[in-house]
This record gives sequence, structure tokens and C-alpha cells, in this order.
Amino acid sequence: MDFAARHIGYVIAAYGVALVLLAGLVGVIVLRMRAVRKRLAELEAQGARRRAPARASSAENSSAKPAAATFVEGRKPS
Amino acid sequence: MFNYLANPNRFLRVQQKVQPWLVALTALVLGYGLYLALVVAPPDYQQGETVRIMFVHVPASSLAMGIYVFMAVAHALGFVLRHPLADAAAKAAAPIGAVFTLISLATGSLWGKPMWGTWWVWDARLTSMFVLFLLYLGYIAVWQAVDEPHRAARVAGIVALVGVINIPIIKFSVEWWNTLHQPASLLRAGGPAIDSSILTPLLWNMAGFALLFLTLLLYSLRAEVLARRARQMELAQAGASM
Repeated sequence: MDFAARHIGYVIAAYGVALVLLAGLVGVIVLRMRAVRKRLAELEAQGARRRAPARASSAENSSAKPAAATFVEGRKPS
Repeated sequence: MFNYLANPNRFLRVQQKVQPWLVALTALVLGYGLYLALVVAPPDYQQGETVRIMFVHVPASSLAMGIYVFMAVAHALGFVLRHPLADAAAKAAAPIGAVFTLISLATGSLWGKPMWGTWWVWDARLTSMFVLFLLYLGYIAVWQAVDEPHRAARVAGIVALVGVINIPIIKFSVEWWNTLHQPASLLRAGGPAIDSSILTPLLWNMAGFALLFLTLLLYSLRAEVLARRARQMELAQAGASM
């Protein structure tokens, strides 16, 4: 690449903009992962489980699934 | 493979194993592509050094459109097959697609000023690409606005499936209307109209950008699966305390 060429500033600016935007994207994704991991660790420390403890009424029906259990797959409880 | 990864736990295991290799492959391919683009490729006989902007602009534009199609297909599979990770994959892909669209718009503008004499014109290609950016923002806003993931997925899916009509409009805008933007020179009848000295670095960069998307998508999807798991634990905790 010829750094003395005409319009070279536009080329440098284009690569700079792409680099900054991609670095920002990676940063946002990594920060979100950290926040999610932190939240999971807090919940586990509190003894939270993915399924609510079975209640007396629902325990009678062994096939009943706790409503919250299906949310991990982004699905409405059936 | 598609059904195999439908299980979120299995996906997390596979993603963890694949991630380091994918990061390394992305760095290698993208690094080599940038070396070809910035060092090896000659200046164009008409565009001069500004042709190097194309090595970022073209891959970013292709991915901006490709990611939106990916999101629409993912939602369609979510609606029809009820694949558990389909909606989450589309959600994870959206910010990546929005950033690639912004890179496409910004680098296109930076190329347009020296070559066309203007930063922006409201021609069909540029306008439809800008509409794509707005669609990405609208899609992301839906996920932010609706709390319940299943309902958010349904509304976002409609946005993705309706908005995908914009993709052929972007692709064929240069043929259907008289635009300042040049016609297709890569995917066209009769093969690419680009010299191999420019085409080879371009293809390497397209591969590198595609790998970067895949790497970021899988990592982001992992975060989404874990976030849903945390939400599930919060709901179970709230249910237990009632």
C-alpha cells in the first residue's frame, strides 16, 4: 500500500472505522457473557435451581412439568 | 447435525470444544486476507488505492444481507419445526448483522466521496441498504421491548420474515433502477468481472469475515442460552418463594 497515494486517508479511515466497530461488537458480546456468568454464579450461590421444588398438589401427578422449566429453550410451557 | 445441536446442553459442550479452533482459524484466514488486501493486491488502474476499501466493504455488505437471511430462516425453522435454539440463534445474530451493515454503509460512504464526489446519494442500492440497517435496529428493539422470550421471538420472527423481502430488493436494485452504485461484479451471469489480483484477496476476506461471524455467533448464542438458564432459575426461585 502506498501511504503517499491520493485518497489514502479514505482507505485508512475505512479500515479504522471497521476495526473500531468490530472491536466494539466483540467488547459488547464479551461483556454480556461476563454479566450472564456472574448472574448465574450468584443464583447458584443462592441455591437456585432450574426447576422449582415440586409442590404437594403437583407431586401427585408425576408427569406434570414445572412451568419455568421449559423457558431455557425459549418455549412456552405446554 | 441440525437436530443434534437442538439440545442446549449439547450445544454448549460442542461450542466450548469448537471455539478455540474457530478463533484460531478466523485469525489465520482474516490475517492472511488482510495481508493480501493491504500488501499484495495492486492498486486498481482506475480507483488507485481506494480499491482496498472494497476488501472490507464487499464482505461486510454480503454478510449484512446473508445474516438477515439467516435470521429469517432461523425464525421460519423456529415457527415450523420449533427448534429450541432457532430463535436464540437469530437473536444472537442480529447485533452482528447490524454492525456489518453499519460497516458496509460507512466504508461505502468513504469510498463514494473520492470516487463519486459525494458521501451519500439516495439511490435504490444505498437506500435499501439503509433500510436493512433500520430493520436490524427494529428487530433488536423488539427483543429489548418484550420481556417474555417466547412472545418476543414471535414478534421478532414476524419482523425478520417480513423484512427479508428487502434482501432481493438490495440485490437487484442495481438492475431494476438506474443507480449510481455499480452493477454486481461478483455474483453475476458470466462469472466475476474482477481481475484475479483483486478477486483472490476479496474471496479470502469474505471467508475471513464469514468465519468471524460464525465465531461471534456461537459465542453470543452461548451467552443467550446461559441467560435463558439464569432466567429459568430466577423464575423457579420466584415460584418457590410464592
